[in-house]
Amino acid sequence: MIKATNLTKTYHTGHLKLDVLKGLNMHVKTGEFVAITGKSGSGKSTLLYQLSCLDHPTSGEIYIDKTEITKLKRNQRSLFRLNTLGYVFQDYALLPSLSAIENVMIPLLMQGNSQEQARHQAVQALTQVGLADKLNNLPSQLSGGQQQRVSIARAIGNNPKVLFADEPTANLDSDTSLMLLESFKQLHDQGQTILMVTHEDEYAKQADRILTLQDGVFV
Amino acid sequence: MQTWLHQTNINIKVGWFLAVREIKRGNRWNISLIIFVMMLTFLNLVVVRGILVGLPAGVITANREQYTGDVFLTPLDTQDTIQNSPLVIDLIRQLPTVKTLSARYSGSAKIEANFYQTLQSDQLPDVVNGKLLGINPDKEDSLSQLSTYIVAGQYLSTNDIDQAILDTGLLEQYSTDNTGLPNVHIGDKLRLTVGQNTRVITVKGFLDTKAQGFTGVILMPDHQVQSMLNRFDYGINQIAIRSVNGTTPEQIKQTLNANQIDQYATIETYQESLPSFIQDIAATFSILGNIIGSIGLVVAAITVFIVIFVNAITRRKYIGILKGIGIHRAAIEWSYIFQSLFYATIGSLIATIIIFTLLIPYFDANPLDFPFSDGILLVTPGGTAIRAGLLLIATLAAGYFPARMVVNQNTLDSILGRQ
Repeated sequence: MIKATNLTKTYHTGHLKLDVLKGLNMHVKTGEFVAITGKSGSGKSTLLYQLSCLDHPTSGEIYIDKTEITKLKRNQRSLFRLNTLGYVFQDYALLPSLSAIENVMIPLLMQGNSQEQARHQAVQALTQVGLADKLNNLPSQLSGGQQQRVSIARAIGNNPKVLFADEPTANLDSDTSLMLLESFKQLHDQGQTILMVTHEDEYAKQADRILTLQDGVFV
Repeated sequence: MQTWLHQTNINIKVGWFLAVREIKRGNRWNISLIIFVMMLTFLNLVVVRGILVGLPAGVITANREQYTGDVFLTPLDTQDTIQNSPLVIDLIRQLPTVKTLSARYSGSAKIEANFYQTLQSDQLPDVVNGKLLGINPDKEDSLSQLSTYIVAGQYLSTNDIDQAILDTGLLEQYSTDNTGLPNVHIGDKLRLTVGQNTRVITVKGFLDTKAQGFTGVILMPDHQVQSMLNRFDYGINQIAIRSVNGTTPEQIKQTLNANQIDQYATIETYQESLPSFIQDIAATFSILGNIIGSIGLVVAAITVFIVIFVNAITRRKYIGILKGIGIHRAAIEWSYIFQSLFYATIGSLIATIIIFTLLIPYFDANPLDFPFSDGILLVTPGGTAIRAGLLLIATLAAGYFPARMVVNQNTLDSILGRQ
């Protein structure tokens, strides 16, 4: 499903050169739940950004389901993210002026679905994460855990091939975090490929496999 | 091409979806303020220009309604009076498209006030020069409603003898620079000299109109002026014609030409008879109005630009998130365009309602009192629609560019709040 070869990412700040990822190789199988851990500054989120088409590596190749995403142009990457990937951000990243169902509908509308179709699929996704009774609530009317579940529903609404989650439990209490991870497990059980970045070893253990990053390389 | 159209269609739908919700759930005070600014901008665009072009329009209207009528006849260049005046008047009266006419005698005159007082050796008599106009009071009033412009005393009647109405421009008590005849009151005796003829007349009333043609006039019944000017051939100097409803001045002029009246008189529509300086003023004010309107349009565009830019930059993170989850940048730009158009449309609509239900009726009832005209607010539905269209176009551009600037920023930097 995901294959990265000799992946590097270097940031240049003035005269300073910072090698964040140093020639990584990794492979994620279809249906696998992989957790990426490491201390702060180890490059976990940077790796996720490269794999999820949000950023461009300095060198190396990344294949997602046989598509070399490193060669895609800007609009192609956007379309690829829309149709193939799902993303759960650290701080929920919901649009405050859209209700729960509208936040989930947006990418579905962008795929060309009618409003009725998008609404139907959004209801299904929100039901799947246990928020069928919160469809018309604005993010400000939802708890942190509920907002994160809406974020998950938005990410899975278009049936992505891969679900990326960047520190999804960072802003949640432990009980809510466990509930969220339970949602991930259920999705995984349904065959969803998940790549999750976390600095919590306890949560990483929920995954099939743990990859630990240290100073830009896997240990 | 089809793919591009399909994608554009989706972008517009998603943009609309986002814009509607942003407006519905946005801060009401912010939205109201933006709409208020757009309303003021549109008012500036329409009303300032409307007053500027309304000033010369007021002059033109006053001239038409109070002096020249719809069509104005004057002597041919080589003549002092309209040739065969009685025949011409009879011909005109028979035309079915003519509602009424006023034939006027005109001549230069000198008028003295307080002439019966003994003057000191170093005193000068109170004398002004004016224009003597002989009118049929009833027909004149039918054409120009002149009696409504009497500010003191009474209007003339047909049988008046040695009675006159003076324009307030001849009188010191109505001037701002102490020129004119001093101490003239209703009922006073004045000495009127026309050529070799001198008569003592009684002041019956004072006239105050904005029509340039009546500035500095002394009005008397036509039969008496005809005698004073020795018009034994009844040679008239002016014929003002009012047409029936639905007939244009050009049509009247064509009819008169067809009846060969142009052999006896110069025939002009009310616009053609305007002094050239008024036409120049009208053209200049129109240009000024367009310049001021254009400045207003630029100000409106800058306002929208700033509003949308601030809106977009404060939502940079959410724009990044939208792009991150695969929303096309064009869809996001469309949402800002729709929001801009919403503000401009509502603002223009409110301003238009204010203009047509409040301002125009107000200015019609209470025109601005300028010395040379009544300042009216000249606004037409067509002109307003054009200006609304221009504002929408300016707003569209002003909403698009700042949105594009923010949307084009790096997606990840926007999400993470990096510069």
